[in-house]
Amino acid sequence: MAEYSIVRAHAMLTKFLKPQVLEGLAVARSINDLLTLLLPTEYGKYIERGKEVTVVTIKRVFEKVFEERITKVLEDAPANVKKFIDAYLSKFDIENLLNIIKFKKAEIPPSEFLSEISRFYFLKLDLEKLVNAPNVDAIFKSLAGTDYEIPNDVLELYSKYDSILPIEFYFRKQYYTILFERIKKIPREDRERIMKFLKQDAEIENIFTVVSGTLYNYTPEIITPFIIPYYSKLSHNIFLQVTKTKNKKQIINLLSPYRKIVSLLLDRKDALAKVNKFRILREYIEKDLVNMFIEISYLFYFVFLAEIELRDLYFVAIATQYNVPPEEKLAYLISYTQ
Amino acid sequence: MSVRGMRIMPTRGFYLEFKKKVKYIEDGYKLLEMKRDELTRQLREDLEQLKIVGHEYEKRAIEIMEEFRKLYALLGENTVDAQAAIIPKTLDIDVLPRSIMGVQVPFLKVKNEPNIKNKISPILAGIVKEYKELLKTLIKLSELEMKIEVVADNLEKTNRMVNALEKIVLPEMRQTLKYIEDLLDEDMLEEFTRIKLVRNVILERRGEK
Repeated sequence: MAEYSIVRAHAMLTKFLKPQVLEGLAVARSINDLLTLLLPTEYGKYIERGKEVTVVTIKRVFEKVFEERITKVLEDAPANVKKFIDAYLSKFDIENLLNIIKFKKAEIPPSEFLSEISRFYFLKLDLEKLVNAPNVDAIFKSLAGTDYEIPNDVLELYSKYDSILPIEFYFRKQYYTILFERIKKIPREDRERIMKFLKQDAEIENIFTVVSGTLYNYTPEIITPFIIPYYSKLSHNIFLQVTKTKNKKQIINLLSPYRKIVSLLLDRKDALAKVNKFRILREYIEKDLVNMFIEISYLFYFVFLAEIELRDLYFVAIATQYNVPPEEKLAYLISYTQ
Repeated sequence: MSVRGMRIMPTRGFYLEFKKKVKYIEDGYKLLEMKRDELTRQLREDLEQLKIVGHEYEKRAIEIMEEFRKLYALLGENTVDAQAAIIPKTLDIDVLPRSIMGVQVPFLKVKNEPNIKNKISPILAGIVKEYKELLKTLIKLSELEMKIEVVADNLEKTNRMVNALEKIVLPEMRQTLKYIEDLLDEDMLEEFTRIKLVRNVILERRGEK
């Protein structure tokens, strides 16, 4: 019943926040203003008036709408699509997992970080078990037999450099490996379309790793094995070359298809580079949206656009809390490109 | 007459001893004057540097804070807090003394700084590195502020001493010296007159006059 889900996605997409609404949210001066502006939108039904509002409570509102959208659209989707989208959404699992590992490594008591952990219903990891593990090693042991089991060579790198970075890079590579594995079950035309998107995504992630590796002197031993082996406009060889050079001009030339992102990274504007990554992916989708009007890939793109809106709203809420000026907030919104 | 509680004896021995003391205090005065000039120069230089470093620190701190706020909002509190938690807290600073014209000023030496190599995620590595550099500027700034405080305090004391010597102690001592000199001259003249009179009496008795 893919058609039913696709039609539903079309209907739901009309309820996504328009650029004008986002513009309004960006000029909000407080979290309360933000809530007032969100009242007439899809988020309104989850907003409880008269209660004390914090960033954590407002984040829960965003997460509820996101969850609801995903649930509704996947309800009647074919099993292969569901499995693939589950794999795509496991990025939230990985994010949680990495944060918990870092907090555990720093010996921070769970009570201090528990409230900040995302708790989407579609997450597969047993968060309670991870949070209550006595130490990092216990977490590693509990991951045995799951998709996130850490191989010995990665654990050796973790011990050698006393750093979570190899594990972080490994999880990211593993995430794309699983994703590309699951996509094989999707019909060919859709598969190719989504793969093109994911390859760009993976490629930009690789850019973040190799450019930062060069700028901040990461040891090649913890970069090269974790280059995600899916390429669109670049190649493995190019990434290896970037890890060996310190010349900024050469780096830009080697990674020329992503000149803008690379230049931002070299200028140490990492936040804007991250926003640009999502903008590139969003642009790609918007160009292709008409062609896949009644295709399965539309479901995936719906999930991606929902994720973008969630990220934008997270950004607006936290930026409002920390008094980032409205014009700067707008500049960092992925969906706002006027 | 007395100088600051000292009993004045109009004898040649005391005069020579007192003259030595005046010379000694005059030398001390010159040295203190040199110290005052050097401390003033040092203070002026440090204030100039404080202005430059302070301005640079403020500008960088604002830039970094703004970028950090955006990264914080973009990546979420959890991710940034988790990353911050694993940064090793190993900053170790030694406060060592350094002498400027005998004034002990503090000098901050970073013995150990957090090793962030291979530890920070790509997107946050830049901001962490910037913060680390900012911390170095902050250490330099605090060193300068402490140095200025100590030098200014010492300069005030030295200035007070130089002024006291110049305006009160030395003029008083010079006056006393002059007074003893006058007394001794008077004594000498008296003695001379007395001798001359005695000599005339003797010559008269001998009938030579």
